[in-house]
Amino acid sequence: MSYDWKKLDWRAMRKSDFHTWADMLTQLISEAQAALTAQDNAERLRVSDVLGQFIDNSPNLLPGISDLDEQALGISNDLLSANIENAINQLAARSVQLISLTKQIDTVAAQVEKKAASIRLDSINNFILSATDIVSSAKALKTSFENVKFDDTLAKQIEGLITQIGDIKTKVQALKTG
Amino acid sequence: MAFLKTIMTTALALGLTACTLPDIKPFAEATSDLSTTVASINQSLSSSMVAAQIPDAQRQKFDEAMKWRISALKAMERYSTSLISVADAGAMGAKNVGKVADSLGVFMTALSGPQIPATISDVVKNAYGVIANVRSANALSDAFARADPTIQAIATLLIKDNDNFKDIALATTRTRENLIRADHRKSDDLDIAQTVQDSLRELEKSAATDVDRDPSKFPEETATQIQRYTALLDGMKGRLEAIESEKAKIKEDEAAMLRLINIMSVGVDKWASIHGTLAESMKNGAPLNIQGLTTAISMIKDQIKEVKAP
Repeated sequence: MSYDWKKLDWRAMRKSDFHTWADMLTQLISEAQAALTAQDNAERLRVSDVLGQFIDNSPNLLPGISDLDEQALGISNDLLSANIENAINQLAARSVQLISLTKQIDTVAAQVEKKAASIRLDSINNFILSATDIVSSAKALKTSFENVKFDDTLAKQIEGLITQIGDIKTKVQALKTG
Repeated sequence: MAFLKTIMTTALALGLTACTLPDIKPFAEATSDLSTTVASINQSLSSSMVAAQIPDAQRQKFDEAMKWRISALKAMERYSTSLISVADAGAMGAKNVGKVADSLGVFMTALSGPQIPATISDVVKNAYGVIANVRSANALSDAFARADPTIQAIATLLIKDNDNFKDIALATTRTRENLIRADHRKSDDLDIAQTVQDSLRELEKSAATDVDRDPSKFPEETATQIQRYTALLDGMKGRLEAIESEKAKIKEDEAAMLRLINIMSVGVDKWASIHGTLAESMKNGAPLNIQGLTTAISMIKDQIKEVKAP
């Protein structure tokens, strides 16, 4: 007799004798072996679930049933253990590829960080260059004003500008060296 | 002031305009959240394996495999941070040059000579900033283009991993159920309860006739037996409820883990697809559409809260 587990009325089966339960377990053992051979995770889980139902519904008070339950429990655990083992093996198999990809991403990250540092440093250099040129130009302008005694107020403003830019330049230079 | 002319001429000749760099921060935050999610999945599965009394050798092998996943996600976090760093560098360049240009602006105003173009200070202010900005944009565009195949490959691997995570979640929770079955087989509690319940149901069924289903009118012997069975079940109630509660907890853990793994798949997929569009976004200056990803990440965060260690 072949059992259709999806349609089986487990509650009704509780009245069955030991031999019926033994037949049911025989069929489940055969299904478990097939699932193990096929290395089919979904099938192993399905058979394990049916074995669980078998244990939950088998009448313990019936002599001999306890041994069947113990057998069913062992097979169920073997199926589940095989699924865990299989899943872990597949994860481990992909680890090698993942390690290589991680190195690649790390390399890109390191290059981008280097580029960011370069942009930051160049910005500072450009700032210092700009500041130096402006100070030079302002000094030259101030000198030319002094020669023609042009405007004291403007000369003072230029002097102030030179000091101001010089201060910022010193601070930025400190950033670069520090 | 030859340098001003040079900068202005170069800037105009190159047609340099300040471009808006994409806001990388939401992407970086999403990367960090994915990293947290993988760590949460690792923690949930590890706890479930411990609760299922999975042998040490298997658990160590799992831990070793997960170590590389966590490491990969950390590398992706570093990558995202480096993107922010390069975008910030461009912005910082513009800010620094702006300081000196503002000072120059004061100088220009003081001279107030109509022969000096008023826009010259703006050109100076922008030129170096634009150069830094463009360099950042180029660096970002280049990084996205070079990293994308790797990011896509990592995403594919992580999505494949999720099938294995599901298998582990299902197998460990079922093993935990088997541990309860083993305990119950030793005590026979559930089986006795089930037998008593079956007997009670049959008694009630046979005692109730078509004419009268009122239990108070059952034959005296049957009524006494029903009372005995009911009292027996009441006596076992505490233990039975504890077992049922334990089973329900396992089912809850299983459902929460599966939801987390499923949403993780969606999150990784969206994350990778948004990275794929980043380079394109850089080229045409379109704003980065991060909404889909942040929605997925927000769902993931909610799931993490739900998953509790067994």
